Amino acid sequence: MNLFIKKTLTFCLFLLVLISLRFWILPYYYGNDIYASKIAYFEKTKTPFNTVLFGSSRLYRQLNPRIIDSITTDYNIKTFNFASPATFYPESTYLYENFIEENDSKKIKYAIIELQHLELFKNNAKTIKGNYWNTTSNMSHCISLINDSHYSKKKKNRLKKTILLSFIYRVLDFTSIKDFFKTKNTFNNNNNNGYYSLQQEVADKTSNLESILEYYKKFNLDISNYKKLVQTAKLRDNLDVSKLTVNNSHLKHLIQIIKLSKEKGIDVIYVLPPKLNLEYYKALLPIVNLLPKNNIIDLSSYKDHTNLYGKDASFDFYHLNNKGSRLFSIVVGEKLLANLNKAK
Amino acid sequence: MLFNSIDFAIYLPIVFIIYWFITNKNLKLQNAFLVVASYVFYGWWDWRFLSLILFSTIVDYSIGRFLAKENTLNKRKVYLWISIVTNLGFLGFFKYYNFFLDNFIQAFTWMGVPVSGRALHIILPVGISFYTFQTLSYTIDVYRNKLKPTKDFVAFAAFVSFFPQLVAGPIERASNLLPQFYTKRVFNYTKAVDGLRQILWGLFKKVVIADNCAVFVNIIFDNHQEYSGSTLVLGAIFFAFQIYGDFSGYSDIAIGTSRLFGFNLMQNFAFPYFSRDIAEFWRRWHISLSTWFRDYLYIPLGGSRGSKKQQIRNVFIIFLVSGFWHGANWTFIIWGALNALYFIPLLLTNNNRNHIEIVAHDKSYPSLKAVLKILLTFGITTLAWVFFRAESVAHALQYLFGICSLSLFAIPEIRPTYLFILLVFFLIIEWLGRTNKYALETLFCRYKRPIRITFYYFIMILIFWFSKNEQTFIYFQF
Repeated sequence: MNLFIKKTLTFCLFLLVLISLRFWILPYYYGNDIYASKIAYFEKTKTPFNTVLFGSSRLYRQLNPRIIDSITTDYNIKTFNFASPATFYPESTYLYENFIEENDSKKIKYAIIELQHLELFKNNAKTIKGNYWNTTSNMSHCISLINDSHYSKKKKNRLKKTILLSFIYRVLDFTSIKDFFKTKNTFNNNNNNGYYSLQQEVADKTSNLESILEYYKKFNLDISNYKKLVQTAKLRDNLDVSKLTVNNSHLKHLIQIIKLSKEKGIDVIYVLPPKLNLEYYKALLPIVNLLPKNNIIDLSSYKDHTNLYGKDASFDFYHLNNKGSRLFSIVVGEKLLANLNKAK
Repeated sequence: MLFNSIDFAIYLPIVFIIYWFITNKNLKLQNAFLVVASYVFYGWWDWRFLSLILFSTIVDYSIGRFLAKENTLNKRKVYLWISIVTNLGFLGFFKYYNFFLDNFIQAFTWMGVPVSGRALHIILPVGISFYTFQTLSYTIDVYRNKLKPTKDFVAFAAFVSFFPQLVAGPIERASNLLPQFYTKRVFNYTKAVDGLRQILWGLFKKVVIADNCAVFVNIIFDNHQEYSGSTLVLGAIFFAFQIYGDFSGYSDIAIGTSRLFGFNLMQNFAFPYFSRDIAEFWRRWHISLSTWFRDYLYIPLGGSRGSKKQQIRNVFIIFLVSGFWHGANWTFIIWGALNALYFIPLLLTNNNRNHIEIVAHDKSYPSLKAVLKILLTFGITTLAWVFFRAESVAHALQYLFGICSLSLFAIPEIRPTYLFILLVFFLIIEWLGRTNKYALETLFCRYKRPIRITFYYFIMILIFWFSKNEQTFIYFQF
């Protein structure tokens, strides 16, 4: 029996090494099609971009680089939006950290990163998109972050299982290599420097987001949705941040990113977007208070940004429409300008 | 849980370790653990249907006990029929209710008597056809006094639910599998290694051959109007390989997994595509089902005894029932009927037992005559597969009409070179290993270890490289 186990383990271990060789061939972003095509565009373009955006659809769909550039002309900012759909923490920071590692950082002066809390979905763990970023260090970071979180023991266990599953899938899913070379999915730049609003994509005849359009229509027909949205936002405003637990692992990581970027001559600005769910605000607001003021743009307050919650600005619960995106981009641009002026 | 999933790759070693290291000291505990492991395996798909397996287990165990105490023939018959009606009742409801309802309504409407009935939204429990037949074989064998009824409920529950073969066979006979639960299993190194090898080959058949053929089969069958006759022929050939790779691959994994736990399951496929006539094909294809029908239906009907008329009737019944077992659709029944038509001439001319040994069993290459016979048998089998794969009879007929056109001689629009290479490689390995229980059994054993291991790694890499996202096994639906 022992011989059998020993031999089987040796066989499997060698096989694991053999299939892990693919990580040498694959680029760090192999599981994110949109990001991959943005990188390809970024590397080809002659535009001297010096500011980059990283995050999920909340930046991809809502933060227009051209508006930011037009507000910050004094600083000669040229922004490119690297955010992509469903790119949550720590995928977004993983992409950013690798990006600054690989690219000539002298060109990049500012990085705007969406401030997110850990978002893990069991079903996504099996997909390449849901696990390609889950390296050993990311997995161990996630586990300590889960341990430090305010979640219940049950939820913590569930999240740990998901992260572990995602890690195993990452190692064993050999199809990634084939899929990467097959991938032909390119983002629609439309001269928007990486930005593509949801409303625009849905309106485009080439898009395949019919289900989202249906959802959008339904959402807009039901007036009670806006009431719910505002109710949640007001609850956020009523949170007593001093009583909330700080997730030290998360905070440490974010500060580490600021330091690492500084060494490469990049100023990092975290953006806390509006319209997140209450659980995320509970996790993120205590961190916001502890981050250096110049490194954060906090747009979570309903009272201060009521215009982002109106029917005329919303696409759905979590996303803004064209008008909302414009408003959001202006606010971010202005806050960024204020931060830059202060730093001067 | 699918055999070709990462879930199973994690689950199997866990069960293996607990089975051999924790529960191995006590046979009852080990059997009980197998029941739990099997229920978890099945419940992974849908736990609600576990109650069906449990119910079937209790019914057949109890009937076995009643039969043991009862000597009166009439009463024994009653017990047997309770088991048959209960088991086939579940199968009939879940699998055939809507089919019978539809046909009943259509028949009456055609006769000018409109009737109405409501089709039910029924989910077919995975593997119901397999475990139903397995438990039925137990009751029938006990009734016939061929098998002593078991007193050990846990062993019986483990026999019914044994996870390697629970959802897609081989359909084991109680006389073969049940006694293996009574005796303590001893770990056997050679057997376990052989099991792993068979799992490897099964995975190759499923993941590399079946799943990759499936891609083109789906495209061609779903859009058959758009393709030339030659492409449709190719689609049918790909399906022949898909279904073989899929089902025999599953059987190999099931048998290999069982060997890891110290069990021996019956061989389910014996290189059927090297058959020289349809009778040989049916001795080599889905052996556990064919022999089940032979023992429990064909022989009781009279088998090949009696007049020619009776023989023809029996053959037809067997093949039609076999077709219907596969699914509640006329396509399966026609598939069965076609096979009966292929078989009857051989039976009537007493040529149905001409080829017992595998082709060229003592030679390296077959004779030209044997090659032509193999090609002919493969051709007519593939023709029948069109009905098996088609959504409806009309679909199958349109597909076949599409083949019978001048475009049959055109160059196929779809020519996946990589798949042709894979199929040639597959056929070579199958040919080289045709005298064994599965192709890899002894194929590389005469070579030195580094060569052998390199070959296994090569197969593993092919599996990883060609794997798609966990495709379900075709035979689960039966």
